[in-house]
Amino acid sequence: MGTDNEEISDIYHKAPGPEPSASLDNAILAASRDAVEQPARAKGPFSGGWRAATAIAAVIVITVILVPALRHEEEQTQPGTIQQESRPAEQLDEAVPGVHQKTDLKKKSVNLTRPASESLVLPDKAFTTRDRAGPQAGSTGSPASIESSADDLHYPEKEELAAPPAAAERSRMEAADSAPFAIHTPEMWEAKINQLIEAGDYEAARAELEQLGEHYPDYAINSTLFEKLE
Amino acid sequence: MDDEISDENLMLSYCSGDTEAFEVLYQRHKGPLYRFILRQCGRVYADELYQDTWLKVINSRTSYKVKASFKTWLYHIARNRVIDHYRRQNVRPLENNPDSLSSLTESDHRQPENNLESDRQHELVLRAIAGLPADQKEAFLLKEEAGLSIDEIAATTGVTYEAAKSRLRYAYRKLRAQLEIVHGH
Repeated sequence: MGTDNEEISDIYHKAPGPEPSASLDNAILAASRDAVEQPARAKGPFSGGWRAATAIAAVIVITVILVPALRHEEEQTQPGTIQQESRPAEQLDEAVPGVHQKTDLKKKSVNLTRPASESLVLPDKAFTTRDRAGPQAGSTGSPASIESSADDLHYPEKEELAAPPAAAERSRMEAADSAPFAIHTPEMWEAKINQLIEAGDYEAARAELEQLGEHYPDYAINSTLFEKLE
Repeated sequence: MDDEISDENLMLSYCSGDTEAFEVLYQRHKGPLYRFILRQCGRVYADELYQDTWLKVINSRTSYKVKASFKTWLYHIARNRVIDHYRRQNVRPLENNPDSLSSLTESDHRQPENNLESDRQHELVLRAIAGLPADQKEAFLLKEEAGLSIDEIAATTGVTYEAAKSRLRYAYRKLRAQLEIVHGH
């Protein structure tokens, strides 16, 4: 086998094979000299040009886009932003001059976000009680919570909060607290009435039903509500 | 100087800034390396891949360390360039490359002084090489052009000693068979 391989090898090497062109040789040798003579150019501070550019671009993108977005999100998710702003505003105005401008702006923004159904002032104490206890996630900006954040809102005294609520009052509060939404529509109002009925607070449910009828005289209220309250 | 100094020492000298050492190294390997690439990829791409291979050597100047023989390293770089080329062209490396056949036969026309029989045999071998499966062709060229041993072929191509030996054996067997067919043995 060895001899056979040698024979093939001899035949293969019988003629000198092709070589790279002179220009190719020169180009490669010139490159080898350039690399030695100009190492600084090859290893400059930005020799990895695309890497530096990519890193700078990434930092800019994060700074310009993500940071404000995160800040905005943080502001939105901070609990009690609107409610807490409304009361201490006056106190702040007195204590720190110049702060009132900021709080006034916030008040204005609250008013702007108030929907057309501004007249929907829910007289139910249960709602005001819930809002007094503090806002719940997702309720910020809803008509009910905005209404409760108005300047004329009644703030309870310490004794009032400390005193244990009566059983009926407590059940009303629980019913209201368990409502996973703010009331925007008559359908939602109906749902709230349903919850009050289920909680056994028929009196409050009747009052709500009455209010619903007054606010939406043209709305066909679900007859089952009347049946349940009979 | 040329024959006495090893490839590795020449490369180390070049790393220290001796451009003449690189020229010696280049002259020593340019022909075999060029043919190794040419006979796998064809003339159209050979120049580019060949230049890329040497540029890789040049750019490794600052980080070069003697871990294996220079020749093994050089052909490993060239092999990677050939594989990248196949990937870019979306061609399987194991497929026979008709372009490499044309490049092989091209060299024959440069030798008008050879006698007819010798030319004919040479051409037959070249054609047979072009028709080899890529892995066998690669092993054959590493043996015949680079002068690598079976161990070095295995290291360069990343296969076992037995696999490299087997590829070489099949390559020679096929080439021999081609010659025998023509000679009517």
